[in-house]
Amino acid sequence: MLVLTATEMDAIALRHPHAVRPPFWAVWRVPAMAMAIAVYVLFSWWFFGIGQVLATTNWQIAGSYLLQWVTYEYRPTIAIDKDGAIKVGYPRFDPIGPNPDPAWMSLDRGMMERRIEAPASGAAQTSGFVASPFMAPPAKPATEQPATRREEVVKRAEVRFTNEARLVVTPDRVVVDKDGETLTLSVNHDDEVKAQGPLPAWATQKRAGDRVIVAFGASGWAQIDGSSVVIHKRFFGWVNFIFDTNSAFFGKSAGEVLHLVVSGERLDPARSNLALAVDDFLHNPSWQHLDVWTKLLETIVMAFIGTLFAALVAFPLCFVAARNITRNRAANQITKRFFDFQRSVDMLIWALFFTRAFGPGPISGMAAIFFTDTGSLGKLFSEALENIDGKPREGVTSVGAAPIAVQRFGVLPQVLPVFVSQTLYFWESNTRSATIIGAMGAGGIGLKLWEAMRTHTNWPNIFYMVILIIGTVFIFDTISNALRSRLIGRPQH
Amino acid sequence: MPNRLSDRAAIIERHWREQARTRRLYTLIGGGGLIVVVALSLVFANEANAGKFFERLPFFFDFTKDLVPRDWLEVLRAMFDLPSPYDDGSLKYNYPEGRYLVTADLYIPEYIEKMLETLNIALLSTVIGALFGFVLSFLAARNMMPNALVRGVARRFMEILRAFPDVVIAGFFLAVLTLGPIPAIMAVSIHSIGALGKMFFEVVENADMRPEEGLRAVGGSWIERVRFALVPQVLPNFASYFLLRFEINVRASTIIGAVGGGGIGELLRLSISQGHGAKTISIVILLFGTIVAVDQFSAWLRRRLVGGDAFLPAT
Amino acid sequence: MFEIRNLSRHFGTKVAVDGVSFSVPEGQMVGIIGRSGAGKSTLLRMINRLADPTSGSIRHGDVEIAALKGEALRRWRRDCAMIFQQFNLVPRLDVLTNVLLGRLNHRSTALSVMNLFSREERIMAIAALERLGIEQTALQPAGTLSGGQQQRVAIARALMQEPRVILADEPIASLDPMNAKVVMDALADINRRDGITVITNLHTLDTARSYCRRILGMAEGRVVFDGLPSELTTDVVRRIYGATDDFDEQMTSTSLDFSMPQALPVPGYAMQAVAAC
Ligand SMILES: Nc1ncnc2c1ncn2[C@@H]1O[C@H](COP(=O)(O)OP(=O)(O)O)[C@@H](O)[C@H]1O
Ligand SMILES: [Mg+2]
Repeated sequence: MLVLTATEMDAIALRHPHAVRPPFWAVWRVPAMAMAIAVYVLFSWWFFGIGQVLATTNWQIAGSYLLQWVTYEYRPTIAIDKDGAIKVGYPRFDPIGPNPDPAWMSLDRGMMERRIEAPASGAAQTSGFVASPFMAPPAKPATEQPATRREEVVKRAEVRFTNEARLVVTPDRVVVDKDGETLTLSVNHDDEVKAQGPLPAWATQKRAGDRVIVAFGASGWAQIDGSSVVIHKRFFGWVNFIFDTNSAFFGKSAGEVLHLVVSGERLDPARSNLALAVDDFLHNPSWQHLDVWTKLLETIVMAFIGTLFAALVAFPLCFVAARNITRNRAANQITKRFFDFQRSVDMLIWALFFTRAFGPGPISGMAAIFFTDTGSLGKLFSEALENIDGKPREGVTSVGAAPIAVQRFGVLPQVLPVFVSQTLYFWESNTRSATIIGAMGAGGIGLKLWEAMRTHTNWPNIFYMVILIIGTVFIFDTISNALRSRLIGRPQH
Repeated sequence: MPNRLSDRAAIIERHWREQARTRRLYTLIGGGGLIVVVALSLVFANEANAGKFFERLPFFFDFTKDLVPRDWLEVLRAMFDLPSPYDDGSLKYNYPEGRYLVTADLYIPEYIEKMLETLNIALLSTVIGALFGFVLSFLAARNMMPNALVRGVARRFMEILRAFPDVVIAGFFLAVLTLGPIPAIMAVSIHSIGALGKMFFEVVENADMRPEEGLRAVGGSWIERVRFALVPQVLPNFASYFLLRFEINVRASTIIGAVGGGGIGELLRLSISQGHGAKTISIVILLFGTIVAVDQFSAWLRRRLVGGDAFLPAT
Repeated sequence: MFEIRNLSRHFGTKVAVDGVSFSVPEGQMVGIIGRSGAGKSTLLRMINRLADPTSGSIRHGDVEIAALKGEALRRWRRDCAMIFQQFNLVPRLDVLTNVLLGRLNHRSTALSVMNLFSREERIMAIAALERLGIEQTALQPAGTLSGGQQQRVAIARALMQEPRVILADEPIASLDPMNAKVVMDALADINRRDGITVITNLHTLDTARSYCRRILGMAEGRVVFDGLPSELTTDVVRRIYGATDDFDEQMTSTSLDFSMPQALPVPGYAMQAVAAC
């Protein structure tokens, strides 16, 4: 074992001073690099004002947006009239469909004597609600005497958000239970809400008398003011993904739909149920399947044609650019600089110019990809050519073959797999680039995504498109990996 | 040469001909299929496009008329924020307006400042991508992570980050954070984590494992083995991929800028769409110069780091 | 005292090591011979636990090596240094750092990762290099050294571990005869002066004969011979190498004439031999 006394140590230190004192950079290289990165990140933190932005960001919005990727809402409004009659209505395009009777809401109905007011105000009261149990009274000649009539109204409405959370509306108060805590709010049929007792943590009210918002986490929230309660009942999943509310197949189970398609009576006399179902699915107004798929196809075509044509043009040019093939320095240099020019005038610039020239659409995107990648592929191809092994060429030349034949048999077999493999790489990565180019105006799914994003409301549709894009990229990734490994015989990871 | 082949030679001859025929058939089917697909694609693209290709082609260069500045010095004035003699108060000639004042008299011209911002977005995103990709790569490499579950999770995670459309990331953060460069940083970084992580772990998997075995025999822990046996080996390659990704990210952050992420991209899109010739040309020149400079610098550095393979496929 | 009982290792259906039992007293120098594929490397790698045994036990003192895990396993690897045919150094790091890496298990991971080694450790590393006669290469990248020098760096790293056992897996198989002798002399010197147990796989019979007091012969995963070099008769050797009558011992020897190792030039400091540890 190495047991040394102090004097022996000193002796060694004296003999090898350089080795004993560690070289400065050997010790400090790693800490210095770490420091440099840390300093740079701090600098950027300041440069972009990241801290400030993060501090002022409303993270609840981010959470709620993210939640909307995989959830949907029903939004009934429970209105309390001055005389205590309760009405439940849904917005016109609510995904719940035309005949709502959800299991999470129970209504107690009863008869009630009501004064009928002037028809104008009656119509105003019910506007915006369809399929409400309360039907607007028929218009009748205006009389001085207000009439009364008996009608069926809701006396009590109960909404169950979760097993532990519910909200009960009665004519003069709203009671909210959540996890054993109870909040009782009295409503004055006008604009004032009063809480009895202190507000629990899940309820917020800006000022006394103002509307109260009660939150139930992922299962929704509700807003209570003096004369109405707006419910946002949230569910996981994508609603009406197959058939929208105005399809004849809405609300039917898979078995029922299948039965109708196979042997049911025609719902629309003009065409078969199958055609109707397919049409309803493709033109589903909230999901727009056909349009989304067409746009996706546009993006795929953009990448495919752009890359393919780029490869086809780069292919002959790279022989001119390669030093060892074309022995003319001027020709080499001109072609190479041309490639560099195309690469460096970025895809962005090409895309903006071509959208100006051809208008938005796949042709512009295609042209942008084509112009950029002719440069990139040309450069790659010519580099591959310059790195080839010269012996096969000499062999073919030695049998007295014509120059074209020399390239065909002495050069091509070596570089073709490399060319195809590089092109496949670009095809795959351009599928992604085509999305963003599209967003800038070249059309395709990118533009559709971008438009959907601008509204900040269509998150499920956005997620749908994202999944389609990721799926497409995965599939192309797999195809191009498989083709590549067959070409080069390299094992896949 | 003998005219008649022996029996065995005849069999070989026949096989060779049969093989050649099948090969030609496959080539024909493949080539024919490709041509049909391309033709259909072109028709489809032409249908879907707003302007039709052959209708628009004669007017292809029309828009360049808008781009020609009144005099070519205008380009320089636009680039360096110098006042223009044609200034009529419109947006087209208000070059000095965007000056970024350092002191009362000293300023950085707007486009140069925005170009630097875009470059910095690219650099920061690449740094973030490299830091996370570094950690992930060792978790995803077969030779460093025997646990298949951890490996699988790390790889799938990186694949999703890589395939996630940057428009959506940028758009999402634009919705949450409002304007500014952070959405662009997020979008580019997230993609970089996936892309660099993948390249890094392939480097790690190809590393020589003998030093690692040596340190395992010494009793080194996982972190020590990574630090001393692998990092010295893989660092030059990592650095090379870092530079390559930086090149790509300069372009990516310009594009993201154009869809609302700030930086020079946004200015370019605005000035093209408004037909401000001098401004557009000066931005294009600036962008072109920057990209050339970044590419050249990174190619030079990469050649020094790893020799030959200076230009690697971009994913 | 080292005791191996019924140790086996399977690779799929292939049995690489098949019920091996033997014991090694402290401070012995043991050579293991056998033809390629006999299971020598697998046996050594199981002792260091670079490979896990399929069954059987390895005891050192009263510790069951075969069952060690995590931190305890790494401590065992520190006590049981390993020398490889391909040296397994980190080529891009300098020689001194490579030697210092032998200390990894003596210090906290945080300190190691920051590359902070103490003055004492650096001096120890230089002392180890001096002992092996390669101190002048201390600041060169290890990858630039010759094979023999690299193997000596590996031995210096092993010394830094302050091991109780050194396992050497064909340490001289990739070296020329001169370098082979230097490396074998160094191992013998460590065994003799420091009292460290050395178990080494050797592909040449004459090296085993001249350096080891005890020789194990392996064939097809089993120990078929265990005895003194003098007991290695031609018959026994045939059994080990599974050779036919035309077998010639010369086939397994290098051309160099090995004499018993001389003590290495004693440097100007004492490397004290601590007997039993
Ligand atoms: N990792 C492994 N996977 C499969 N088989 C192995 C592995 N390592 C060793 N073997 C097999 O085990 C047997 C013994 O190998 P080894 O211990 O290396 O022999 P030696 O060192 O005596 O030449 C050989 O047949 C070899 O093929
Ligand atoms: Mg072996």
